[in-house]
Amino acid sequence: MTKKNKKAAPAGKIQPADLVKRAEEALRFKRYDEAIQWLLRAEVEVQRQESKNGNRVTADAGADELPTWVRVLLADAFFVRALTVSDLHQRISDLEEAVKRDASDGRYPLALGVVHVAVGEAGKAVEHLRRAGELLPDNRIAERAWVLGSLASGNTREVKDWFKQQPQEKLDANLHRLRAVRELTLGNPDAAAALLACPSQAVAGSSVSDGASRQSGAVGVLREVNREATVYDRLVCGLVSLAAGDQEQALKRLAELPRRRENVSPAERVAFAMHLFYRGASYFQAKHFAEAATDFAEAHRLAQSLELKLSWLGRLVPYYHRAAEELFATDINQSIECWKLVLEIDAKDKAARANLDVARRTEAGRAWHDGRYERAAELWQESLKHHPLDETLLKNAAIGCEKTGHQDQAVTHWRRLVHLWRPQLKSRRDDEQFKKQFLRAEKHLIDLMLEIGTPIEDVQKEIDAALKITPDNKELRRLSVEIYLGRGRPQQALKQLESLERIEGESVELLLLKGVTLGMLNRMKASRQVIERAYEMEPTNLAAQRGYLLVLGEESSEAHDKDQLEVAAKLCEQQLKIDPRYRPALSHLACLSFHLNDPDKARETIARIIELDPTKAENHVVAGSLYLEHDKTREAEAEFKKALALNPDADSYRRIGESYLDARKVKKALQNFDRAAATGSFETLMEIAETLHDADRDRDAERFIDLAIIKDPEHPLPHLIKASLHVNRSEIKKASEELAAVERLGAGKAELREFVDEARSLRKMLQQMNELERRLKSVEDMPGPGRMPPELLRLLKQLR
Amino acid sequence: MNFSFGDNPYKTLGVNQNATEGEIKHAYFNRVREHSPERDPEGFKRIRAAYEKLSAANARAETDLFLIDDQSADINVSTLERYDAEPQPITLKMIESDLLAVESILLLEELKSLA
Repeated sequence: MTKKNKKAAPAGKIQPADLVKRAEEALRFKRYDEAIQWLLRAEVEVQRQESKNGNRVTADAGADELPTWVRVLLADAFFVRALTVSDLHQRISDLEEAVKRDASDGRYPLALGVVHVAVGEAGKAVEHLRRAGELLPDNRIAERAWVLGSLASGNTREVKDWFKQQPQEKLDANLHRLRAVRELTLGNPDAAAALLACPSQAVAGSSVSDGASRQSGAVGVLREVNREATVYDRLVCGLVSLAAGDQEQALKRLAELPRRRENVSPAERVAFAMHLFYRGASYFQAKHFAEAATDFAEAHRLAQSLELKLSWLGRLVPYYHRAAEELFATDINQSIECWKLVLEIDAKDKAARANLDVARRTEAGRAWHDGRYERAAELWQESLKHHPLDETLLKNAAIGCEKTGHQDQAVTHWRRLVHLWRPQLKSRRDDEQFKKQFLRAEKHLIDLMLEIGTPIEDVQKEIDAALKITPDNKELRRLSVEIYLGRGRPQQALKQLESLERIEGESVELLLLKGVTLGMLNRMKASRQVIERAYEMEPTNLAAQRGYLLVLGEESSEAHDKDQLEVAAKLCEQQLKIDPRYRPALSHLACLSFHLNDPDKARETIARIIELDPTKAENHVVAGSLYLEHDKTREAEAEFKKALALNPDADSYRRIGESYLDARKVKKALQNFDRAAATGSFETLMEIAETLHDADRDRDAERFIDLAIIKDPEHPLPHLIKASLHVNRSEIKKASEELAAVERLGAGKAELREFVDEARSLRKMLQQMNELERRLKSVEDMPGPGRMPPELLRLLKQLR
Repeated sequence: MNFSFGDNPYKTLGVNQNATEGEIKHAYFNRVREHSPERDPEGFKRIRAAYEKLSAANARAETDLFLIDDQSADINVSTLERYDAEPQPITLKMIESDLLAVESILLLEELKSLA
């Protein structure tokens, strides 16, 4: 390169010589596409410089050859790429580029001519093969290619003359096969058979010509050919019999398909595929349709893997159709495969599409009937891909998926079906049966969505959409109430309940649900009125009774809190009239009696508690607790003793401990808790910790939490509780460590997800606390007139 | 699962899926006559169960919803759509052109040795 030229090159532009170097590097590593790209750029650059410098690229030594070298290298790159790509038309295009750039290399027209023959364009091949012959004299491949091209274009006479001129030793197995093809072309299959020395010469009616028998020396060559040649020989032998009209012999020969090795060459695969096609055709002629269909399918698969346009592929369609029809009654699955393959060849084949659909449905029905549920579901789902709005298919697929445990897919199908049915409801309003089915389907869909754990918001959306169409769907409305209550949305639940009341009128069940919902909305008075109404409506209804007892209990507690002890006692008596064995009312009444200075009544009521079941330790603990609360320690201890005599387990100790804690006898409480902890379960330990935490004894609580961790080191709950205790004490680092333990223990365990979620929200809170702390500090430290007033600082500290 | 995929009750009673209430009742009594509880207690149980699935409107809606439509299982070959063209008879010309194609692919393989 001249200095001038280097300067002239725009920044970032690569010089042709460098482009060539890059191309050579790419070629070395067989990156042909890349090499061609570099060389095409080099070619453009060279042409540009040639026109600029009067056909001189540079004044550098050796640079005169560069344009030629670029063309030669580019031609070679196109040639090697053409030999590796599977698309024959791409090959032709590459080889034309090669020929265009280097007309002196015989390999390029040779390859181009052969590819033209392969794609059935023999006319275009002849000229290229003639040119190749001139450029590559005495080259065996070029000669063979010329014979091939001549045969393909019908020049059999020239081929005959050429064969005559060839010395015997030159005729190898490849040329013998071509000679046999020539004999076939001339309508002499017997002569062709003789030339190839097919395994059996006994082709019906064959008489081997003298000319053919003279070639027996060459036959030896054929026998000597390596194993790779076998596949071609067998194929040609079989086809020769077929051409001779001897179906039986053809089938016999073609039946001997050579064993296929791994990594067979494309040429071998073509021969195998053709072998299978012709064997299939022979089976078909012999009415062995199952075997024929199997061979066609395999031939088809092989041909597809080659991406070659083989002429017999187009002939497969009628074979597939006939084979599928013949097999419909005996092997419907093979029929299905045949029609599928037709559609692979021609996606617009209406008969194949219609018959495939019928066959799939038929087989699915049979499979279902025979208990092959997986297959049935698979086929219905396949059909659905082509008929996504087919209601019968949707329903069958949904039921099939459900039966085989694919609930997710079942939900998809049920959902589509109900979405299709919803708009029909208006036009089919007189079809009662349809409406009933539709409502049932809606309910089933929601149940299934809940069963598989669909996000509750999605379930709710589905219910809302359904209720818009069928506002009187009572089942769905009830479900909606349950979901809203579960999601902590009592206002929406109340709306649904009111709609339900309008649809079906007042009932105990609805009133009770409404009472609970109003309670969640803190509308206590309204809640009590509604529950009382439910009880009045049906006093014998156990749920109504229980609800009303709770309402009276709450009223009694409220009266007690307001020091209206007699009112509270009367309410307890009212509860006991409804249920004389209602222990909470007996307990409260006993307590009130002590407060009302009526110890006899209190003792009598406590006795009633024990009488509920004197063998039950819990009743003695309740009795002891009541005595302890009113400083009757001796009686209390006597009852606790009885309880422990009846049931000396961890639970009894825990309950007794709780009683002592309620009576602020902490030492005794802790003694009993320790006894409970000695034998208690993880749950008992956590309950004790919770009780102590509620009584503001976090340090004691922590001791039992640690014991719970020892009891079950894999459970994240104790760590979560500890984290929250640390947060309360602003021990950020310790809290963080416990939260990390929760996340570690709960990772990847769906059943522990709620703990992990809780830990994450606590961690978020910790981060916010840290941020607040940081900001407060910066405000406190602010100097000068911007400093915060002391009142506001105090307020912020309190907030902290 | 709150439903069952049992036998098809319509088939058990020998009625069409669009049968009216009256037709179902009629079919039920006919069947019961053939399979009385004394002569065929198992058969009677099956018929009774099928009738119960179809006699009440709600039960029938439930049955219909979870019933597989397997009517197509009875379809025979005559219902198929006929493809017009027959497979072409194999001719010498076809064999020859296919063999030449194989030979050309084989040659292309060999050309790799010249690359």
